[in-house]
Amino acid sequence: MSELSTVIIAKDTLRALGMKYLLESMFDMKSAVFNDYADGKLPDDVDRYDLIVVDEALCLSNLDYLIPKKNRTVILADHDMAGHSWQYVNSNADENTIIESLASIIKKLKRVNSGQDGLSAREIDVLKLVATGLTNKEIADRLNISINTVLSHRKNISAKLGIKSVSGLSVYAMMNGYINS
Amino acid sequence: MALINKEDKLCDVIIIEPTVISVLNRFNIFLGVGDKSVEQICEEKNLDVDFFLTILNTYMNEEYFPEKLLKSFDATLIVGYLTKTNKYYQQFQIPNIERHFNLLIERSQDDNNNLSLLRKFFFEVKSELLGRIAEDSNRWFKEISELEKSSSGSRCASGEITVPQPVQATDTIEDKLGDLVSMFIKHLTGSYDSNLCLAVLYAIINLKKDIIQNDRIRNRILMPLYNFLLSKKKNE
Repeated sequence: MSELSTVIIAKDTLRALGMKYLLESMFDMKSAVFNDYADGKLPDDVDRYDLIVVDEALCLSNLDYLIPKKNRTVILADHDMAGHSWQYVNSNADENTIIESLASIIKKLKRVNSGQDGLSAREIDVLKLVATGLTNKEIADRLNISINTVLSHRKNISAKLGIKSVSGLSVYAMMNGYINS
Repeated sequence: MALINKEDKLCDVIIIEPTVISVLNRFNIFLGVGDKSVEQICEEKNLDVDFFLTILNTYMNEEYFPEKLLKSFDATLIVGYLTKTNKYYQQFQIPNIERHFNLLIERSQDDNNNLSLLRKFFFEVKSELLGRIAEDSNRWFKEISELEKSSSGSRCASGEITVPQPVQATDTIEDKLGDLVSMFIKHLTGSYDSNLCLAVLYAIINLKKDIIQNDRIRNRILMPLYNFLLSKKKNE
């Protein structure tokens, strides 16, 4: 059984259950399903899940909350969302396309979760701020750490990723869903 | 790699290091070189054989950088070579990467937005490089040539030119190209056309190598030479 935990939150019960079935049968992943949410609000404990599957309406009404979790959020859509920066599964696509989309999302999530990029949680915090264009001083103030500590984190990030420039780090952060593209 | 001599056959040089073809093109030398030696080809093309050899050896050997020898050449000769290098980037290498990148994205699955992000990053590097080329041709290279002409023919001894400490406030084009290569090699995910992806990667690696080798000439030879000519003019 995969150690990744999933929550599926969607108004359409059949789609939610279909997704749950696919995740269990194809990817050996247990999922919790919520379809009884009030006022477009997400369940309180949503943050504890590794993968958050939401329908489009719920995503739109919780953008501020979900954007920082974009790399582990999947929109359960009923149309093709190619060109969007969000990860999505089109429930109207054929079975193989849906499975391929899920496989790609889960592979990426596993890579990040297993720390394949080797970054610590603090380094990811620094990376996100570097990628949004903050200076070392601003990052130090924001995270309540010294500039030397910021420099040390930056050096480690560059060594681990093989990326030196701010632009390169921004692209990496976007590619991995750490910041919004 | 052993240094090339003027007696060496140019075809052997190309066989050992095929990427040198891009440098030869800048001297109007194209494929079909026959069995002629470097010296024979330079005579035919009316090239300064010592300068030609220095550029080739500098390009082919990362460890080789004959600072004194390079400083002994006219600034206009170096400017001429770097102008042709800039044109080569502008007319061949950049469009080649761009063409393959566009095809790569066209033939990849829609949900792979990693490639679009990488292309966007390449466009940023391209725009920076083209900006530098425009600045070179509109201002810097012209100024150096004029300073050289007005320096009344008395060239300095190579020891007079001091190399300034490099000041690096921002990320360089070399850094960014290196990052692009790293991202392809280490971080690329999703489905893509593998042949086209390799074509893009090889083209970026070649451009990066070219820029690194030629930036040594630019930063360690031309820049100090320019500073020397400038201070000489101010003192006159």
